[in-house]
Amino acid sequence: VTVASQTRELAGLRGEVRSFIADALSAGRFQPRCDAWHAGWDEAFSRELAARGWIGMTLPERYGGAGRSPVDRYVVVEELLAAGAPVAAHWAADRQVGPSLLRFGTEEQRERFLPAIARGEYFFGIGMSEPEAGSDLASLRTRASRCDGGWRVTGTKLWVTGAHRAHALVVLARTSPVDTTNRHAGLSQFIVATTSSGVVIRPIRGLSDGHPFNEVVYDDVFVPDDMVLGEIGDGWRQVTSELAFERSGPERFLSTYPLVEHLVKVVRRDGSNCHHAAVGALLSRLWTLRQMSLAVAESLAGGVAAEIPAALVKDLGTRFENEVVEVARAVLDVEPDASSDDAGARLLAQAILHAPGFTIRGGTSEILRGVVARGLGLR
Amino acid sequence: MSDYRQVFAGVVADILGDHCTAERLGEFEGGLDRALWNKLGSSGLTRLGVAEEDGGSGGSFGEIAVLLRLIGEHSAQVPIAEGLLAARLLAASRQPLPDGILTVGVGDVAATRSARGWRIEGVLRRVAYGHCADAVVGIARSPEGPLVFMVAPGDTTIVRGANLAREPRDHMAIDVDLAEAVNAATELPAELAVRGQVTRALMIDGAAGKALDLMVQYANQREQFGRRISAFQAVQQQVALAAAEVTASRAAVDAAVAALDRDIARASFAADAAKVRAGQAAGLTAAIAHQIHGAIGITHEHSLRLTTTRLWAWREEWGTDVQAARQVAAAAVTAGEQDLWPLLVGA
Repeated sequence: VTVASQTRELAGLRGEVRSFIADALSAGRFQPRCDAWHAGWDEAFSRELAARGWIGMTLPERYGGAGRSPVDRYVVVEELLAAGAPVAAHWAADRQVGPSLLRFGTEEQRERFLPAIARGEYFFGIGMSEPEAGSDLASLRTRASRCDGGWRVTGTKLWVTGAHRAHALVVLARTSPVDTTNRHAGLSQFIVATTSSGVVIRPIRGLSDGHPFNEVVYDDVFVPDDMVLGEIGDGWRQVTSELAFERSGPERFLSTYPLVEHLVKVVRRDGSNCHHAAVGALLSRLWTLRQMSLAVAESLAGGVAAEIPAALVKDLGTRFENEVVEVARAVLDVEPDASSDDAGARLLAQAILHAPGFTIRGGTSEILRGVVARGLGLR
Repeated sequence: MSDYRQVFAGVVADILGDHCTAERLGEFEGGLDRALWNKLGSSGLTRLGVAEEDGGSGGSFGEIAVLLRLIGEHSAQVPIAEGLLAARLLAASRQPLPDGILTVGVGDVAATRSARGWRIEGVLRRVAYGHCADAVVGIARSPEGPLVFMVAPGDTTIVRGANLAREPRDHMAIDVDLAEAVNAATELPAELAVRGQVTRALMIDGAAGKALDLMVQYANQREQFGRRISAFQAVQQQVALAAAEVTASRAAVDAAVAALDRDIARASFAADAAKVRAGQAAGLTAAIAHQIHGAIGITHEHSLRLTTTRLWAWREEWGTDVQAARQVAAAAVTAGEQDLWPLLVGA
């Protein structure tokens, strides 16, 4: 009975999201695009989602959340991603910063930020990588030194998505000198308003138009004590504790889903079955990835660690996102063009220009495979 | 896995471990390990999934899944998947289960009324262990709908064949008069196809897991350039790719088993997709397993071939990979413009 009623409830939620999306599409509120969770910044759309309780939905009600389960959130997020809806504005706040504040933040921080996140009015950027610290994050050089009433942060962060439009940034910095026996010690997280004096945000142009990425320079930026996130020195554990969640979500295999939807539409209208074998192989991979990703979400909801399954989802999922491009090229037989009126040419261009980032962001495929190999006992 | 399933898996693994030694696998290659079949039979495992009142030993497809993954892992030389499918066909058509080795055949067979009962004519293609079995069960077309029949291999004309792993796959031409053959539900042939696909995907999954175990073991022991090859990142990356394939195959096949247990009439998309994904995993895992093992792995003496030849053969059985992929695409294309995503998420 419980399982049946849960299933009904989920189906109801899924139905609500679908009809919201259908209405938004018919009203011309957005045009489906690839990689919309990274490049589709639309603050009004975020607020509409928030009004329905779909941002910060796993946060407790006393902080403005909906008190829903991670699986409920999974359903809402996968529906939005499949539609290619613009969810980038609240993405970092919803996926990472909200849960992180709930877990490590002070009561004051939770009360201040969580309701604003859930209302879709407060957006975050996350600063981790640096010019000299990519895959080897522990070698980062941004430093925070103690001062009267707080900390002074100096350093440069790269690839900070949406920093130019976000209200605040969560930045990882070194707070004590490198301990060569434990490189992960001595790191801490800080919440820094983007308007703070000494914060300089510069766009990084990517392969396509628009600029989701930024370089953020912190020049002796003052951060008061009450904006330390979690414990001083505990930053590494804090940032890695959410990794399984970040790496296993549906965004790791749905970035090019709008192109999948389009290519199936073309095959359907074409009436020939000459691409059926390739399309069927592709859809089988997609169907499987969703089973894997959902299983990780359920493990995590049940408190089971899933670092390795999550790494596998991201490696396979981001490779799949690239495979979509190849099948689409064969089926569509069209020149990619980001400004074309033809949806196929446009989606293909978006997918091709964004694809190299898929297997890099959130842990490169090679790093992930290293995690898997260690898990198998290879040294 | 539940505690019961774990105990069950332990019992099956013990039986298979005792019988599927390198020596015995070599001895029975190309044929059948009758002692293993008898042992599985005396443990009730050859009648799993058939209700006790129909002469079976009960159990759901979940237990069959555990058994078949282990059969794949151990390269067991018995037609247990086909035997279980045959037993199910007999039970579904209210016919008693015979003793002895059962297999199932599909092909092109027609039945017409005759003086004795039914005249059955046609051919069963690539029947698993056909000539080794005591009875072969199949489905014939008849004017009155599908008909479940059983014949002795001796009453058929056999052309022996084998798959890449040298498992018997025999053509059997049938031209017999039978008194007992029973009409069954019209959906039975489609259900057999779905169950057949999932049984083979389960065996692939077990074998792919075995290939991964073998490569990890070998990489951790083989030394070159003064260190174990597992220390090389190039090797680690390849093994991680294989692990991803095995994990994906497992997730796909688990989902198909769950779909089948829920409602077989709606399980064909999951069965097709799982078979395709397991087949993709089979190819890549076998290739990486061989690359990691180097030249020793492609010798007849090395046991790796028992697993990899099965992976290559099984991905094309119960319908080739390409057929299953086309069926997945056909389902996607048949769905309406708004219905691809609902089809993929099953909701």
